[in-house]
Amino acid sequence: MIRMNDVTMVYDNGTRAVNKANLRVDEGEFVFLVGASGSGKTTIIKLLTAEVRPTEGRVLVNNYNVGEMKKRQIPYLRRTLGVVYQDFRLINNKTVYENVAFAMRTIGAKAKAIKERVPYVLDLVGLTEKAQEKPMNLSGGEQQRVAIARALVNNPRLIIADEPTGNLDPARSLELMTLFEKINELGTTVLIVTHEKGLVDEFEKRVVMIDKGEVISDQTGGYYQV
Amino acid sequence: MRKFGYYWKEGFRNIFKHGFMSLAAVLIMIACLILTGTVSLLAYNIDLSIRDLQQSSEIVVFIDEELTTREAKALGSQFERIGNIATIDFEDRDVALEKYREDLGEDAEILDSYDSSNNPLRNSFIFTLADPAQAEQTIAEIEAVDGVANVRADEAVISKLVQVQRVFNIVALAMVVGLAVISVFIIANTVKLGMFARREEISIQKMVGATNWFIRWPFVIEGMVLGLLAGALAFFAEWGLYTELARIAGGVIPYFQIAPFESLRWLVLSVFLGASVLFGIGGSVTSIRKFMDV
Repeated sequence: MIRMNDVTMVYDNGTRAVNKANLRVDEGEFVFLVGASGSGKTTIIKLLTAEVRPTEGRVLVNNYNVGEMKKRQIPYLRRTLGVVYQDFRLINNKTVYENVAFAMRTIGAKAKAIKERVPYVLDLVGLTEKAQEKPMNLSGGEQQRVAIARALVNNPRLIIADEPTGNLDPARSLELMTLFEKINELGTTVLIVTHEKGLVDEFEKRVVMIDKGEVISDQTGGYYQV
Repeated sequence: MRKFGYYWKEGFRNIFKHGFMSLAAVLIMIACLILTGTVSLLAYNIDLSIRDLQQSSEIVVFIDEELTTREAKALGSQFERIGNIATIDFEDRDVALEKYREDLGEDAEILDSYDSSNNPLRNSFIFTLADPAQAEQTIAEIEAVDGVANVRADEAVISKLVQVQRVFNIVALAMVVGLAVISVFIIANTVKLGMFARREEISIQKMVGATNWFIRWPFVIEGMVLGLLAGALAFFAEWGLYTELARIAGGVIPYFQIAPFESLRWLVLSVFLGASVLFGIGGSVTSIRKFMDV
């Protein structure tokens, strides 16, 4: 699923965002990636989605070698992932249904498949009633659930969420994490980047802690150590 | 096939979504095409007239009076071996005297004392050149033939015409290239505006695994359709403008040779459509590149 071996990532301006990091995530796992702001969490996400390439070391995601893959292979790696962002990244002039369907249409799915799959994932995230609403008419928690539905709709093997609860209140954050847990129980691997200690402690999952671009702790059923 | 339908639908959606910019792009492209088209057609017609003038510029070669008419006429075979000569006509000195008499009309009596026994005129050859730009070299070759007494040619006029033609061709080419660049720039900016408005959508498409060409095609189609529309409209506008200009020029400069638009329409139509589609696609592809690096 994910293999990072001695990975270093240095940006063009000289910033060393990731430093000899090692990480292994297996199929079906639920992992929290935690760390303070600027610790290198987002760069790790960018490495996993091939937005950036490692300066040193090897990054393997769903059997794609991010450092060595050709540019034209990147879309095919991304089709095996579902990514959720803190700012939702929804298209405001499309309905909830269209936002989710858009992700399927983009990879060339048939209309019949879209009609079957979109209602299923909207039901999974509890948004069937809101299918024809525009994102701006939804609460933050609902918008994030649309983003999760969009990430799920192409049936990815791995869901990566970058600070998915950053814009939500504690009650909505808990609901959302429960949803991720449900998705994980259905067989999808989940990697959540967060710095919300309370939330991480609540779920007692595997916690990988990053500091200054290095993995400083990795505990299953662990707690967020400040 | 499914994707093909999607690309066209999205391409047209882009055009209508940014209707004002699409209209502006089409109008500016029409203006560029008409300007380039008119300059090119003017260059073509000037070239036609210059060629006509050059072709009709004759070189007269006078033959030494020591040679009999028969001997003079025999020199024709030597002249034929010189390259760059389009036509050769021999003019018998007696025929030339008769013509001269006719030209003088009422004053022809001054030639009354002359006949074939004391004809003061020489036998001559009249040449036209295949390539007037090489007149100087050809004249030198003619002069080198034994028996040639004198060559009369308007070399200065010929070379002046050639110079005018060259300058005009350079100016026309520069204008065509300049206006082509402007057209590509404008289309590129129109498409860029559409892409900028949809950058969020594009970044989401990239994130869920769309290939670059899946994102690019609707914009390429947008550029192509705008180009085709501009090309077709510019063609009809050029037709009207050319016909009117030809009518005016025909009245003002009677000797200026103007090709009828009908003889050029397929060429103009294919060049306009080809160029505008090329500019449209070129503009799209140029503007897309920087949005693809996500």
